Amino acid sequence: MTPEVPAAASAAEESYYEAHRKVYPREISGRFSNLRRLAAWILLGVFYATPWLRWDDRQAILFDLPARKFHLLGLTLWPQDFIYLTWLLVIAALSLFFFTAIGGRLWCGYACPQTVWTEAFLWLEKITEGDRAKRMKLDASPWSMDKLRRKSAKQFLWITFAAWTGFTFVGFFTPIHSLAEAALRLTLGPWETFWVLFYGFATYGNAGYLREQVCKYMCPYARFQSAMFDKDTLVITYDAARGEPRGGRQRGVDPRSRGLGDCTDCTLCVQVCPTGIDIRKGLQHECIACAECVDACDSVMDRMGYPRGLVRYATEHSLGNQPSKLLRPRVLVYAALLLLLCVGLVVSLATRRPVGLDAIHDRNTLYRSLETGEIENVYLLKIMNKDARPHRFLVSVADSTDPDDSEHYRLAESSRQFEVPSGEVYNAAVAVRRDAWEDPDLEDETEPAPTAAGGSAKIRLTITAAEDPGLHATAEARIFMPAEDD
Amino acid sequence: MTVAWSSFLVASAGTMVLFAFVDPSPVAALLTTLEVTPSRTALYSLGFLFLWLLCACAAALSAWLLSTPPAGETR
Repeated sequence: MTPEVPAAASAAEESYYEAHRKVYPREISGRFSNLRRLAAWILLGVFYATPWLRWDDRQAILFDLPARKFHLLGLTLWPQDFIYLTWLLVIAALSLFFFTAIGGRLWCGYACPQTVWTEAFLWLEKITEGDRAKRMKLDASPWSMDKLRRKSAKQFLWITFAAWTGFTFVGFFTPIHSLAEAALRLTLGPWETFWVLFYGFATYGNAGYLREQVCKYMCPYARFQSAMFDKDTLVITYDAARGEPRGGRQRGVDPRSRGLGDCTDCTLCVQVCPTGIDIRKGLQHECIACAECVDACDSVMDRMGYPRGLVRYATEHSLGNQPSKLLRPRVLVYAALLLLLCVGLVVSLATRRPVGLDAIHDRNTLYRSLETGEIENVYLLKIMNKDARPHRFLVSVADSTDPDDSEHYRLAESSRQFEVPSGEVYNAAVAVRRDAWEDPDLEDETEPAPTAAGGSAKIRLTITAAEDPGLHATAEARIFMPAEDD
Repeated sequence: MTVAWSSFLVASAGTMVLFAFVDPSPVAALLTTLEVTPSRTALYSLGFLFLWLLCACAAALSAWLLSTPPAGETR
């Protein structure tokens, strides 16, 4: 700090930021934490197992970036199918809105990777450093052999787990079997290594250290999720009318005789909170709706012999003793849109043409005059066989304005059929020939009259699978030719 | 932190969209004088890091402009 700055001003500036206190969430078991643990196990299991699944002779789920194609079970998607990915993302976003409108921050509490990995890292922390009280004591104590041992054990587990996570992540994008082989032989490519370390480090930092701060300060969803809320959205609430005034009491003592509410002020709900808030202060933006405090409070209510639900999932309406409505216009609109998009996606995927064709005119030569008096144009056909089987494709060419008229255009002998293996883009050079313009037969045709600088016409190239005429694709291209007196 | 994070998010989305439409391999083959064309993985990665840097510059500039009010104004 520079001495010119007055102390008062700098203190005021610093006070914008609250010093970060480490949160030591206490472990609790109950209905919702069991549900969360189950969700975490399933989600982590899916993440770590998926890249190892096989489908025929390849990885079942592989976003093969180096080869520019995505394998999803039996389906292969190409860059041309990017629309499906966008579609899927829109569906994901809408589902998030839909579930937020109904159940509040269900995503945050149960399914968000940040929550799930934090849970896993907390578990590793617990088995090395002990429970909440032990961890707090350990952190406060001076360095000792025991502390060193426990801390290094934790770091070892964290780093191993994070590295494995990074490796798995990269395994979604490059074939994981060869990746594993390369990793074991220490011959991993520089960029694979970089991404494994990058993602591993991100996991380590986010789940090990940043934790609830990611939700509080970094997450965009946390900032705008309240826009989806209304008075019928489920949120975690403390029933203040029932709980206050809070205070300690003996078991079996009627709280009303002491002028107390049901809250025993045991602060267990605060201790279990992974974001370190007090739910009794009302709904707060830090709350990720993990429902740990619900379980904590229920366990105390059970012990005291009070009914459960002092802290519970409730809607604003139900707390005010008004009826809650599940089907509101907001929910119906989200649901309708979601249904429409899902049906659309399924239909469009089911009717997707498994053949694609692109025609690119040869860049080097516009046209070639043959000795036979014909004009020849060469095209590069990119034949995409997205089907699961190899196909032999027959090429045909016709005038673009008159597809039935195939007389004027001919294909060179070598350009008539191509074998394309399954899931490949085949580059085929195709030579299209036609008579020169001076052909008197063509004078009265509808094609554009050739200018002095030469002319061009549109043609349509079609490929049809030899054994399955229903499988076809077309592409349009321009054919160029010299001027009449050339 | 905010700058790095927000630009990371935007750059990730940008990289996806960019490389969905552009295959960097032939472009790199045209542009470089290297003996070996870099692999797609390398090109994607460099593309992402470049976009991240670019977005970070924009974010940093915005952050700086917001933190230094024009003369005569107090925050």
